[in-house]
Amino acid sequence: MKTSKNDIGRAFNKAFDDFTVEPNADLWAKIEKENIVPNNETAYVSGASFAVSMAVIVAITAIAFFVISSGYEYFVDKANPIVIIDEPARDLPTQIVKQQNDNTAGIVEYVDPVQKENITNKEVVDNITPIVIESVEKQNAPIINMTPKEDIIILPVKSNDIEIVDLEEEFIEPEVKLAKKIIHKEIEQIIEPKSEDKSNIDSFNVAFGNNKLICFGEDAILEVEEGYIYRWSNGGIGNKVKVTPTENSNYYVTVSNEKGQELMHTYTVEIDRTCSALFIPSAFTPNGDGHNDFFKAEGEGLTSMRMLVYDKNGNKVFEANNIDDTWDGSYKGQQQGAGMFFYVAEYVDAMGYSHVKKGQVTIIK
Amino acid sequence: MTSEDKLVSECRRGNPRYQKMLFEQYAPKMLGVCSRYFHDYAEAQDALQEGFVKVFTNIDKFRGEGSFEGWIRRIVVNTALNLHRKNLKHYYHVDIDETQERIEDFQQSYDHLQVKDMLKMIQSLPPGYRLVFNLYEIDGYSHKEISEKLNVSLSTSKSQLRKARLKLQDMINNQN
Repeated sequence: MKTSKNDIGRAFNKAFDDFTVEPNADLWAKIEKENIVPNNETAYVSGASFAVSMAVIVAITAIAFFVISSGYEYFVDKANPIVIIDEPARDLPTQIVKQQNDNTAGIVEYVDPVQKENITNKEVVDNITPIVIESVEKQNAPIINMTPKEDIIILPVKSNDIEIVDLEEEFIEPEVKLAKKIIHKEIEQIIEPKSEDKSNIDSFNVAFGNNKLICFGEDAILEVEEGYIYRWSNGGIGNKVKVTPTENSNYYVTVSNEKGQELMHTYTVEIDRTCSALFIPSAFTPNGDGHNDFFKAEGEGLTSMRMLVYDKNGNKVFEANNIDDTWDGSYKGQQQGAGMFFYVAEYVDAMGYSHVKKGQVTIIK
Repeated sequence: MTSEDKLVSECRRGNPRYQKMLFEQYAPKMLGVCSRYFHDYAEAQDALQEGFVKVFTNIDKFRGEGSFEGWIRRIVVNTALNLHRKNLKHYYHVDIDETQERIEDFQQSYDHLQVKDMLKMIQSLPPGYRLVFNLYEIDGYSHKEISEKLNVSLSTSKSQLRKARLKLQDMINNQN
């Protein structure tokens, strides 16, 4: 049966077409409290412009009075003086401040040169997609340069390397924004070029990978650009290491090249406590002593879980269709001896996404 | 200058009076959108609040191409999805297997359904189904867009949609 466009979808689509819900009365107050100012540089200046225009009127009146009293004829339209305030800043719009006759806030009208550009700008607003955090962090990965001699010169990173496209920025999690700020700060601190002449620098560039955010029980792979010598704080020596921290952890790597130059980098692996994950123990002891007698997967916030356990010959010795199912280590009524078994667990997390986890479990006697 | 243009240009300058007008004009409809994405009315309101703050702070990026309401709506939907990601821990839901072995029978009339009942049905779906169903069937996103937004595979998006329909079907039949 064809289900691509079906009645149920159409029915819901139609029903919700002009569906409205009245928000709580205090919602606007909450939004207003956030004191919203648009991201552009022309923030609303009603108070300021009012003050400016008042000052202008006073000044004009004073001048007019002075001029008249000096015996010159001079026309000033007191009711509607127009004053052009010159803006020295490069892209700021020229503002024309008008004084309104009623005593409410003044109106600022402006011609915005930026706005005109924006229209031809190819950046398409419509294609807003939430960004994958990883890719942003990748853009942010600092590139650090090093000279062959003892003089360490860290070249300024081009702003492009750390700039996040404006549009996407609104969808970046606050943590990443913070990270971006910190990177900015670090770069500001380390930019102290000792020489203006960059052509003499034989630089040592290493691209470091991203920090990781993982679910509890997940592996994180930390990586550095290939081709150097590595020493990791956990003993690893490759350009990639796999870590499975159970709490937020820092890992350090020292990268050196054949000339003996060294760079050090810190990775942060954070555990996202909000995501669901499956933990499967790697061994159990079915000897009836009351400790670890059963094999069981542990998980939080899963919508479903199915796990199969096989022995070395490929016989399915156990099947769990539920997170609470336990295996006592027996197969066809017979207790299995010490040895290794293999499991495949499929689970669906709270968001409805499927995952597969494979591994080994050992029976210890 | 139409009133919408006026609204946009005043909000672009951060004029609080027009910001409020914009809110009043679009909030009920956008809360209607948010409601479909959350089980809970309070969460929908949170999404609406956050969404409107984004609308106001980013309004200078609206270039008048396409409809303004559509632009707001996209922001609100994206905000809802973001909030979902943050609030994962609250969602412990339902076994999915119960809908799997059923013959699909969507070809029937749904005219008798009330919107508020339909909303309840959508809200009681597991979050994964609810997001995909909303995005695909009501807000008109393609599977490709959904897979990008939710960071899942195309086939996940499709199977979630199918299961969501089955589940809704089930609820409708039980209601009768």
